[in-house]
Amino acid sequence: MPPILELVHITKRFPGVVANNDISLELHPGEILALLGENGAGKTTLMNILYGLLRPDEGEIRIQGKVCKIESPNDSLRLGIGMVHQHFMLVPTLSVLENIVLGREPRRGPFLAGAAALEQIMRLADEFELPISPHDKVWQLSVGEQQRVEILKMVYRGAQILVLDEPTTSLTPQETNALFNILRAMTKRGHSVIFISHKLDEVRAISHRIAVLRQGRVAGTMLTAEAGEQELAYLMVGRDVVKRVYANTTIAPQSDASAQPLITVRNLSVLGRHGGKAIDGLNLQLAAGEIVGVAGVDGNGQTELVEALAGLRPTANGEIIIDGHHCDSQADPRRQMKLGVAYIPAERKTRGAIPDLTIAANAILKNHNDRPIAARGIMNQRRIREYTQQLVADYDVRCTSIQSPAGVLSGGNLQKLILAREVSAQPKLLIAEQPTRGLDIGAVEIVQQRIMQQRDRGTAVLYLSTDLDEILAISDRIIVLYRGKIVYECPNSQQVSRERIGLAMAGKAA
Amino acid sequence: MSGLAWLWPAKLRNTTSARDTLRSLLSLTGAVLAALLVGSILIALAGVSPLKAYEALIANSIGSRNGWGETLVKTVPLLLAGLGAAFAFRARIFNIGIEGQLYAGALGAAIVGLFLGQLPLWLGIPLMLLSGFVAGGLWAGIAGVLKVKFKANEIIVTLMLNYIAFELMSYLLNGPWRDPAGTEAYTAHFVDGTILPIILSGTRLHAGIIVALIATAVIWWVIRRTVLGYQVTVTGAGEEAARYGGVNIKRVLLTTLFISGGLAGLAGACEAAGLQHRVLLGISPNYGYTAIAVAMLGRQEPLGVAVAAVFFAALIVGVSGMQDFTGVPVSLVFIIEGLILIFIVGSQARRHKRVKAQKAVDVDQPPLSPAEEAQH
Repeated sequence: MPPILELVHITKRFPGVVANNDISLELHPGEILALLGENGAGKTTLMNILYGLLRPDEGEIRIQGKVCKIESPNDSLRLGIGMVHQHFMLVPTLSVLENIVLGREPRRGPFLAGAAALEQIMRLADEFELPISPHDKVWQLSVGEQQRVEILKMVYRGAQILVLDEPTTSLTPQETNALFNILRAMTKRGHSVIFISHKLDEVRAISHRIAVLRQGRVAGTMLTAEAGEQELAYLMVGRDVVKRVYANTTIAPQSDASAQPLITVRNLSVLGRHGGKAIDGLNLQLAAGEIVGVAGVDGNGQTELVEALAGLRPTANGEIIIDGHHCDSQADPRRQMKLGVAYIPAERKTRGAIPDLTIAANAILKNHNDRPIAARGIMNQRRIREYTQQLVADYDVRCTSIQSPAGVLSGGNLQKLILAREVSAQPKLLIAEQPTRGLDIGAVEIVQQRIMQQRDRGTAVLYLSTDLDEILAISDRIIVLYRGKIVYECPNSQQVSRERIGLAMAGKAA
Repeated sequence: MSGLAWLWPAKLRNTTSARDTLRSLLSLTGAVLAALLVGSILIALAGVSPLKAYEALIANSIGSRNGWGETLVKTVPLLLAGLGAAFAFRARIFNIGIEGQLYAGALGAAIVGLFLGQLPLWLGIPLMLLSGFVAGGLWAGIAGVLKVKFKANEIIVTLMLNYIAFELMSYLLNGPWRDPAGTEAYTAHFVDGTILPIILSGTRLHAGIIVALIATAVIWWVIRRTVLGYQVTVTGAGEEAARYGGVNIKRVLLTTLFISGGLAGLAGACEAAGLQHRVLLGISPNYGYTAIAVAMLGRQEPLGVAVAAVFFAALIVGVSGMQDFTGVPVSLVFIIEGLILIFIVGSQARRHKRVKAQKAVDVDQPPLSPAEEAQH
């Protein structure tokens, strides 16, 4: 069968870097092709070329044998390419149905032909095994459900090729399985899928063929059935990485069960953004020198728990006690800072750092009003420079100058800067919220080691991740958050059952 | 530009390298030239040779001692009000109420100028300026309180406060504060001890220009050297990160609006005490709105604002001369002002598109500048 999509010698250069270097790939009807690669390997650039955001400097794209020019996302969709982004492009206040037809509304005269549209969509949903509730508002849906809406929208618009960018990032194991079933159903009906990921296991589980990208080039293409994990990892990073990074993480339980808890959370309730209790009567204790991993699907109160602990959100009920000090219910980030709470936010570029400001300005974000950085309202430039240079040197933040905007740092280096800033105050509690999300393997390793160092010097660490493997690798103790409550808790050991935790994440506590 | 450069936002500074600085300057110059070019078409349509008109414009504004004097006289309110606008824009507060705060400042100055009796210069002038600053600051502070307490949009509130300020001034000048000897709506002459002296003989140039230059230096210092300036910049560049960093956003918003309004108030005070020696209804030919263009052309940079203020002042002075010689109406000024704004916004949008394309490896969108955000 001739390929439905061919990329022929695609090259895209940016100033100082060749993001895609002579990439040739083909995609066949009914095939799931995985694009595997670390961050910065060129996956996103390639995707943006297919999506019409970027134009290649060299090479051509053929669809069903015909050379096509993709000048805009509209062209892309018209040619049958449907993009499912990591961040969904849905209107939260509209219903599922409205979101799907948006931009291509079936009309009867000047009116929306709602009934006809509904019928057509339900038929498609049925055909592709995509269960949806068409009249629910999108903001009410879970991440997995939103993703289904996004996929259905693309199918409704006539996409023959579906491109998914890191689609499993915030799904439960169960939701991931459901997604895989959907994708398989689609390929049976002749649709093709490009599955972009950096997770080896998933790629091996779902794809027919794997193309590994490294440093802008195709490092290798192979049939999934013939690809060994070790071989893939080698192709990806260009060095022999055995099993995941986590292999060199030894679980050394530092905590003493009888130790006095450093942090006590008692009967805590916190309101979520839409009213309602996002955290509902939660009890938690953290001892000095332990990493407590919080597993759970996004949206089960993680954000609210973290924000309450960091003083960014008022508490509705209950108590937070940090090293004997009772925090009052008002939101006051500065108070929490003084009590020794440090926080690495998941949103690196909107909360953790300000990309437009210099590295130095970002380095002093937390202590800009404290001696010796500032005295009597006036900032000490020499101290700022020295302090920043110290952080940058200690944490090996690769930058040309501390006066460069933080936005030019790679994800890993930006995270190192944030981490350096947060631990420089020697915190009692370190909250790490998705600290390795989107980082490449090398950076993941460094970030995790640094966090473990903090644990070893006696910091209580609350480590949140939606990646269960990561939680298992780094935690001394694991808790599972579901609908604002801790539904499962266990010390981390070889006997921990992944299935047990997965079920708890889905709210099925036995 | 060293100093606290490492604190300085690359984005607001708009430079990461000398080439970027040049590019930024070129794009601003380009915007100005494009506006003048379109303006020349309009002049031609009015049946006048654009070359002659612009010649008259330059001759009148910066072609003579008197022209320079007049240009600097107009620079005083534009620079002070422009600094006010720029300071608020830095924190991403769209203070469109500069005009009203300017009136409030003039009225504040009038309290000292009219009702405290004779004062020595060393006391009268600082007191008058302080009163103007505080009055303007408090007027803007209303919008600040409403924003902090009720999340009221400051664009709407400050704009509406302009009308209230004008009516309040109108009431005072027609009623209780009206000069009993006067024939129109204005106050009595300020007492001598509050009058800003002339500093360039033979012109109307008064000591307000010194006030404006000192204010420029102080604001430069506040932005670059103080915790407040850091917090203002951080809040403007990333409010969520600022809150996370322990910045008291509400306090920053209130302080920023107070200082922004205070600077506008100083503009009003200097116009009253330096130029008119009283408060009259026509104290500001829309300086408060032109100030927004000044702040944008100056890229919210104190030094840039100073240059932009002189430019706009020369334009205003030159165009009124042009009217006398060629019959092209003064309203051309407002057209050119508007065109400059449009071209600046346009060039920034183009810039962002380019930056975005370069950054496409990392698809995060660059945040909008105040200009573009105001567009939305």
